[in-house]
Amino acid sequence: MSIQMRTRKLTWTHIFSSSIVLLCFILAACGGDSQAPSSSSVSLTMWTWKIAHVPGLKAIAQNFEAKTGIKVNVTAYNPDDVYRTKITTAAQSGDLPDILSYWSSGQWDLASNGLLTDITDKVDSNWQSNFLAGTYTSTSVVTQTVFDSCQKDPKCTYKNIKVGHAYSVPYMAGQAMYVYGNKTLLQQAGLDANNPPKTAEDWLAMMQAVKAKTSASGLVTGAKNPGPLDRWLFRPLLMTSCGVETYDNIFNGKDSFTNPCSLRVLNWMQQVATDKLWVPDILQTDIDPADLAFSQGKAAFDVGGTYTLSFLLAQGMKSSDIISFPVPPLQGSVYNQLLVNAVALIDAGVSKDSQHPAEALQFLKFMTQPDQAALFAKTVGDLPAVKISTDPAQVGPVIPGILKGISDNSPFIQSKAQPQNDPQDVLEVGLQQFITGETTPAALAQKVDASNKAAWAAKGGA
Amino acid sequence: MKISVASDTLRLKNLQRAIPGTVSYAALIVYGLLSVYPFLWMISSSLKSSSEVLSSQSLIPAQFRFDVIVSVWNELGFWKYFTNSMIVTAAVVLGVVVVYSLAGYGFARTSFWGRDFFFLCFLGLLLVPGVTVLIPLVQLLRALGLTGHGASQMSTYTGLVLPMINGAGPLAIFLFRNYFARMPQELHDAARVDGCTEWGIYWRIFLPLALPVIATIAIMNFIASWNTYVWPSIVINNDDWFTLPLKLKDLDLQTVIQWNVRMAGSLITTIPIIIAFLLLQRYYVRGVTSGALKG
Amino acid sequence: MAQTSLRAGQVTTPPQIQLVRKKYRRTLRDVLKANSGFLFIVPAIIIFLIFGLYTVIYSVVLSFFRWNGFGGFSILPPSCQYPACQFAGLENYQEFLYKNPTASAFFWQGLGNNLIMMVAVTVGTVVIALPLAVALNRAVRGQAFLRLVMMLPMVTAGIAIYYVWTFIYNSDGLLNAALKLAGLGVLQAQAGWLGDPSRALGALILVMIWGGVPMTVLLYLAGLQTISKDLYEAAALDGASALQKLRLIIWPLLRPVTVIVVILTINSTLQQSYEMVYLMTNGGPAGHTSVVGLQIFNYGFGDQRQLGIASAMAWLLFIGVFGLALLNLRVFRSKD
Repeated sequence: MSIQMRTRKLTWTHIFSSSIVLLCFILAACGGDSQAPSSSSVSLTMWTWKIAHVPGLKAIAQNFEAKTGIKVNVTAYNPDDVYRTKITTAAQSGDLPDILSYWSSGQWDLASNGLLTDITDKVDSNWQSNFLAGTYTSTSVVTQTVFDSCQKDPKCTYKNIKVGHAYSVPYMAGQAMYVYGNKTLLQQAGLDANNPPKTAEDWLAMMQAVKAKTSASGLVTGAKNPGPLDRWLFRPLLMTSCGVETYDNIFNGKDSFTNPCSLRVLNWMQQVATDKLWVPDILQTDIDPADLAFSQGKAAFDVGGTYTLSFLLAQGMKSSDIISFPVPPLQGSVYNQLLVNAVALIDAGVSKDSQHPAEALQFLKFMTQPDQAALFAKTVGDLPAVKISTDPAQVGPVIPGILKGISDNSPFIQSKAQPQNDPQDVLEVGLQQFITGETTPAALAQKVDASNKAAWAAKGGA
Repeated sequence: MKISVASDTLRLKNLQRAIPGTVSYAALIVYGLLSVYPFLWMISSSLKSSSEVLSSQSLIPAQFRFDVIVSVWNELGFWKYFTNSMIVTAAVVLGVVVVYSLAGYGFARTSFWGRDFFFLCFLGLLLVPGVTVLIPLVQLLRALGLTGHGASQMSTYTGLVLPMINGAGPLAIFLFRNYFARMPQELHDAARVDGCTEWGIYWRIFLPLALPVIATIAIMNFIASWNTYVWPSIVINNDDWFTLPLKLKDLDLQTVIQWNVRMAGSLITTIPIIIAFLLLQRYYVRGVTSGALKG
Repeated sequence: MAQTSLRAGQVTTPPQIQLVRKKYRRTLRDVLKANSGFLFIVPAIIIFLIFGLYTVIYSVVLSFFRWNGFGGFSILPPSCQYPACQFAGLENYQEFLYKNPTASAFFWQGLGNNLIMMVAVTVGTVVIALPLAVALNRAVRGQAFLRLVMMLPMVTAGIAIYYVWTFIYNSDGLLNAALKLAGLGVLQAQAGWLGDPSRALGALILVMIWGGVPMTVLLYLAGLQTISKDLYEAAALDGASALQKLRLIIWPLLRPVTVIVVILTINSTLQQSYEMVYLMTNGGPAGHTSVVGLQIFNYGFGDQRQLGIASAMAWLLFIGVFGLALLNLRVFRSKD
C-alpha cells in the first residue's frame, strides 16, 4: 500500500504544485497588461444592449473620429437583463459610460436619480427638427401626462423630474403593425395578390381562402412572445375601431374594454383562432421563427416588426413576391385606414460619470444628423429616429419601403394612453387563451377591466 | 439426472447474469443517443450555411462548409480569451477543491462547537436565490477595491473568482463531507496510532483517497465556471479581459441571427471542457479505498 | 450536602466542589484544542461571511423596501433616499400573495407549476440517473467513451439545447414523427408539444430531466466507487438478482447522494429553472408554464424595476426550499 500511496500522493501534489507554478507564470506575464494606455486625445465610451447596432454605431464613430479626432468605443452588453444590471451596478460604482443607451420612455428613473444629465437647453429647435414626429417630443421630453400620473401615484419613483425637460435623445425607432403577404400563396388561392384588403373582415376572408385552397395556413406572428398579439394586432385594431379618444379612455381606466368598439376587436381575434387560421405551432413560435415560417411559405400573412422585411429578404424571399400593408381596420371603424408612426425605441443620453460631457453631447448631436443616421440605417437595416432620405443608395434597399409607410399624422402620436403593466399581462395571456380555447371575448374584457381598475386605483385614481 | 439439472440451473444463472448486462448496454446506448443528439446538431450546424441551419432538420449538411469554423476561430482570437478563461476556471477549481475539502474533512471527522449549526448555514447558502444577490455583490467588490475604475486585471479576476468559489461551496462541502464520513474509522485510528496529527491525516491519507470526489467536483466546477456568462459580464468592463463566453457574443453582430457562427463559436469553446473531462477520467478508478485497507 | 467518605490520609472534597475545580482546570488552551477541528472550516467560513452573509442580509432587507435600483439604497451605512427608495414593510409580500389580484393570480399559478415541476423532475431524474449510473459502472468496455457521451448535455450550449428541443417538439418535429412511426399517432400534439396547454409543462419537465441526469449520474458514479466489490459478490452468492441488488444494497448505501441530488434538484427547479422556461416557452402557452422564477426575474431585471418585490418573492421561495431541504434531511437521516 505505501508505495502505491506514495506514488499517488506524488502525482497529486505534482499536479497541484505545477498548476500553481503555471498560475504564477501567467500572473507574471499578465501583470504588465494592467496599465491602460494613456493617450492625449479624448476618448469616449458608449454602451448599448443591441449587438446588431454595434457595426452601425462604430461606422458613425469612425466618421466622428475623422472629423474631430475623438475616439468613441462602443460596447454591447447582452441580453437585456444583463444590461440593466450592469447599469444599476455601474451607477453605484461610478462606472457609467459617457454615452448611455436606454429604452425610450423608460429613462425617467435614470433621470430622476441624476444618472443622465439634463440637456433640455442644449437640444435647440434646429436639432429637434431632425427627429421623426412623435419620437423626441413623445418619449424624450417629460410630458404633462407622465408628470401628472407620477405625482398622483404614491409609489412613483421619479417624482422629481420636471415637465418639458429632456435627458436624452432618440436614435432608433421601430414601426410595427405591418402585415406582410406572400403573393404566390395568394395567387394559388385564387385571390388578387396586388391589392391589400381594405377591411379586417376582407382580410379574414382571404386567410380562409388560403387555408381552404392551399396547404398553408392563414396567419403567423411571434405569438409565443406576448407582445405581438397585443401590440401589433390588438392595439392597431382597437385604435381604428374606437378612435383615439375612446382608445385613451379605455386604457386610462375611464372607459371599459367591454365597449362595443373593443369587443368587436376581441371577437375578430377570437375568430382567427376558432377558424384555425393560425399556423399549427403558433403558441411556440417566437418572432424570428414566425418570420422564418412565413418565408418558407407556411402562412400567407405575417404580422411583423421593423426588421421583418430585412429578415425575409435575407432568407431569400424576393421583394416582388411580398405585399405589405398596415393592419386593416374593421368595418365601421372610426378611422378607415391605419396611419402608422415610428415609435422611438432607443434613447441615448450623457451620463453623470462622464469626464467629457461636452464631447459626449457633441457625439450625440453628430449621430442624430440625417447623413449619419442614414449610414446607420444602411449598415444595420434598422430604422433611425431621425428623418433620413428615401434614396436606396444612401439607406439600403429595405428602409425606403418602411419609410413609405410612416405617417406624421398617426393617431398614436396624439394618444395619451398609459397602458398599465398588470392589465396588459392579463390581456396578453387572454389573447393567447383565444388560441387555446380557454376564454371568450366577453369574459376576457371583464377580466382586463377588473385588473385595469385595480391598477389605476393603486396609482391614485384614473 | 441431477447433474443435468445442475448444469441447467447454472446455464439459467449465467443467462440471468448476462441479461442485466445486455439490458444495461442497451439502456446506455439509447440514452447516449439522446444525450449526444443536440451536441451533434451543434457540430453539424457549424458546418452549414446560416440559412440551411434554419431550413433543414437533418444532421448531415447539404454542403460541408469548413470556412465557418475557420473564420470564427480567427475572429475569436482564441488564445487570448482562452487564457483568460483558463485563469479564471483554474482559480475557481483550485479554490473550491482546497477550501472545501478542508471544510468537508472538518465537518466529517472532527468535532467542534457549533459544527451542525455551521453545516446548516452552508446548506442555506446553497439555496440562496442568485438573482437577488448580484447587486450587493458588485457593491461589495467595489468597496473592496476589486472592481471599478483603475482596478487591474488580476484584482478584477479576484473579485470575479471569490464569489464563484463561495457559490460552489455548499455542494462541494456536502460531497466531501459525505465521502470523508464514509471512510472507515480504522483508517483514522491507524494513522493516529502512527502519530499523525489531524492535519496529517487529512493531507496524507484522506485527501489522496478522495480522488473520485475531487475529480467529480473538479469537472463540475470546470464546466460551470468555463461556461458562465452573466456574472463575468457584470464584473468585467474591459474587452481585453473577457472570458470566452463573453467574447462569443461579439461574433454574431447581425440582426438576423447567424446560427452557424454561434454554434461554431460554442463548439470551439466546448473543446477544452471535453479535454479536461478526458484528463480527469482516470481518477474515477475504483478500488482505491479497498486497496488502502488491505495494505 | 453530599456525603463524603473519610479515609485515612485522604483529603476529600464534596463532588460539587470537585466539579467546579474541574471546570476551572479546563483552560482556554484546552477548549481551543478540543475545538481545533474548527480550523478546517475557517477558510470556508471567511469566504462565506464576506461574500455570503453580507449579500444575504442585504437582499433580505431589500425585500422590505421599494427600490428601482438606482441610487439611494444601502445597508452599510443604512440609507434609503426618496423617491427612488421607499420603505414598504410587508407590502411587497402582501402584493403578490393576495393584495394585487393580477400579480397574485400569476404568482399562485406559477407556484403550482413550480411544485409540479419539482416533484416530477426530482423523481424522474433519480429514477433515470441511478440505473444509468449502475449500468455505466458495470460497463467495462467503452466506459470512458460512454461517460463522455453521457456528459455531453452539460457542455452543449444552452441555445443549442433550446433550439434542438424546440424543433423536436414542433408539430412536424421528431417527437410527433417518432410517435407516428411507433403507431401511436393518436398521441401526437397537433399544436406542437410546447404550444399545447396540457402538454407544455410535461414537455419542459422532460427537457429538465434530460439536463439534470448527467450531473446526477456523475454524482452517483462517484458514490458507487465507495461500495466495495465484496458486497456485490456476497449478494451474488446469496442468489440476489440485479434488481434486488439495486434495492437492497445500492439504494440504501447511496442515500446520502440521493439526499444531495434531491436537494439540488428541488433548488434548481424552484429557483434556476426560469432560464429554460424563458427560452422555450416564455411562460406560455397562456401562462401554463409560468414559474415563479420567471416572475422574480421580470420584476428584478425586466422593465418593471421592482427589486424589492423580486427580493421578497425570492426569499419566500427560499424559505419554502429550505424547509423542504430540512425535511429531506430529516427523513433520510431517520432511516439510517
